[in-house]
Amino acid sequence: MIKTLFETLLTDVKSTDVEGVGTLRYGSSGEVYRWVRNLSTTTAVVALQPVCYDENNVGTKALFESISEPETASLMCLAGIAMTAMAASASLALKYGWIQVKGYKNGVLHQNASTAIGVGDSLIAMNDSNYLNFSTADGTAPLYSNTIIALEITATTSAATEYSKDVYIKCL
Amino acid sequence: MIKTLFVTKLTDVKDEDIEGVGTLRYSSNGNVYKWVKNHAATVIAAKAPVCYDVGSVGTKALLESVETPVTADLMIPAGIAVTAFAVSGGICYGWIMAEGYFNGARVGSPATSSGLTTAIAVGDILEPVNAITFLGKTIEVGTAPAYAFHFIAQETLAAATPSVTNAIDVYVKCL
Repeated sequence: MIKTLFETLLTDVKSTDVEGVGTLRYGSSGEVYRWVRNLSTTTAVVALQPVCYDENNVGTKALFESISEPETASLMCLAGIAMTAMAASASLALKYGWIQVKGYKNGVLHQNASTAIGVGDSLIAMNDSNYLNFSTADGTAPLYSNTIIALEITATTSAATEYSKDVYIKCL
Repeated sequence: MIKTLFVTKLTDVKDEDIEGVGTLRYSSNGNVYKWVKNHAATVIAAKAPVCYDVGSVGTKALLESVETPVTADLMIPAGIAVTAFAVSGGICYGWIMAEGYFNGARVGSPATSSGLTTAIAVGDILEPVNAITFLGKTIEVGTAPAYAFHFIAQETLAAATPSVTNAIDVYVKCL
């Protein structure tokens, strides 16, 4: 049975697993969220940044219960976008929270320097970064099955610039 | 909370937004429908592909209105119209299928100059075509789709004869 009553708001963070890590939550317009734990003991998660599952958990269901800031080894396991900031993992830290795994999301963190982003382009996470960046142009297959699609144009800039843009998340 | 009770049947069209544009409707067999508005001055044919309007990018409204495909929108197909929609301002609200198995979608082209020119095999990827009310073939089975949102042929179809309307079953993956 799909859980339909939740204790937390989508922007809540907790120090304990009050919703059950891995639990999905469905919105009325197709958005889907997952309750997860920030597994990293050193790096906090920033609100609206991309997060990845931990590749060290492959082969177990725990893969879909914890996330961390993207690293090269985990980029293919893009989990979604953090709804709010989550602290680094420690005994009383606010390390449990919601990520969005599917659907329209407003104001996600982008960064670009040399490639303009068009509507329909696919975006990916980057190593040790809390921003998305350009991956493939629309009309070219996305690099990974879990991907994020740009829904706004971002112009090319001479230096890496940070943006907040709308996307469609396909990580479920 | 997911809405579970609806005023309309899937084949209904209305002149007002009685279900809430963007609302999804889930069926027991895995099909998912979305209540949308035809925002353009062109009617939408029943069982034709529709696209979101790229002019609405940057807002959630992008995923609430559709139109007959145009070049600028082809990267964001929305699904298949369950029934015909009138032009914006008329009886222009209705259901599209955003995900699932669709019986008898419009595929092919009414003229050799647009859309389908090669045969379709099961598993081929189909995409909307500019200013055409049919899906056209883009990628053969075994090659990755070009767009994240796309349609998969579930039947074979010989190369289209001009001025012939074809209808084959497709799997809609626009969600």
